[in-house]
Amino acid sequence: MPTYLFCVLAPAGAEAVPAGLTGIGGTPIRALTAPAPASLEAWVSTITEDALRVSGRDLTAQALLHNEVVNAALALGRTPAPARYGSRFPDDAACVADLTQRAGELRAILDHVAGAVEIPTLLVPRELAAPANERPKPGDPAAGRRYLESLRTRALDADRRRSAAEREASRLRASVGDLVRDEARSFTAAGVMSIAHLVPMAAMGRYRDAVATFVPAEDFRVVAGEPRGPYSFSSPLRSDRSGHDSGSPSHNG
Amino acid sequence: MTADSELEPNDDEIEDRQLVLGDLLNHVLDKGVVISGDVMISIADIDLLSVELKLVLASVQTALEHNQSTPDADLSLLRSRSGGR
Repeated sequence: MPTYLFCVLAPAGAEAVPAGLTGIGGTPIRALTAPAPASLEAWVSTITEDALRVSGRDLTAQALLHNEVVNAALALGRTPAPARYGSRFPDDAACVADLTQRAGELRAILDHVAGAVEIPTLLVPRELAAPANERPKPGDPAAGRRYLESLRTRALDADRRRSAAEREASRLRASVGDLVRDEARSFTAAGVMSIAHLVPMAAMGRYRDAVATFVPAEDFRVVAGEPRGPYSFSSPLRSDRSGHDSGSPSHNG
Repeated sequence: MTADSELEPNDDEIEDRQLVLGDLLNHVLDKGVVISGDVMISIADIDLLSVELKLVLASVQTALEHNQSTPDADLSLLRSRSGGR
């Protein structure tokens, strides 16, 4: 039976997996240990071969369930490195072997996020980006030129929106100052700047106050999210991104 | 403002909740520790194994733009306002 991985943690002290915590398919969450020198703990559950064969609403529900297990670790005061939704191994031994092989990378991630949470803040433009251009209609001799012009206008508009959002994100970053340990940004096709701040748990109150008093430019509004596991700071690619995730136009917030 | 409109849900609040939830889903699906095992996601009953998840999300968005009614797939949380309205 496959082993599903929710998150990786530094070795446990007295805190164990909360009793009754279940994961995908309702099976119990277990703590797997990769012994020294890896010294890592993984929260996993056993799933059926078909457990992840879902679509639509069930996919959304499973992704949120994955996040609830990550949140359960956070609630214990233990900051995990969340796995991506859908991460599975053939069995427990394969999971432990992978953790052991990559212990150095995982320990570096855990050291970076220790004692902190990820807090999302969205900078939402008052006017969201226009929908995609219409395709040229057959038989219209000027349609091709108009279409290319509209593409150019759209590209320029996207650049302008992104520049404005980056300016506001930098202003927000300055306003929260040293309350933030790290930051990742991504820009969505709709023009929303998604900012993830890595905030020490002890500074969460002051951070919220700082965000609440931040006044964005008048063409933006601020939407604050709830603290979550540090997804944005657990990807291996971050090691060569110098603190900023430039995101991708394929994100759609 | 009419009495009827006062009874309607606050559009901004609904949109904010959708934006926050969509952002969370994007992160759960697209960020985090990447393992050496499988990453498995199924969409519309098609298994997608060990794929680039950004490509999956882009494909979902494209599908939504081309077909507003997606049977058995309530993916409204992943829609942007521009793509979904």
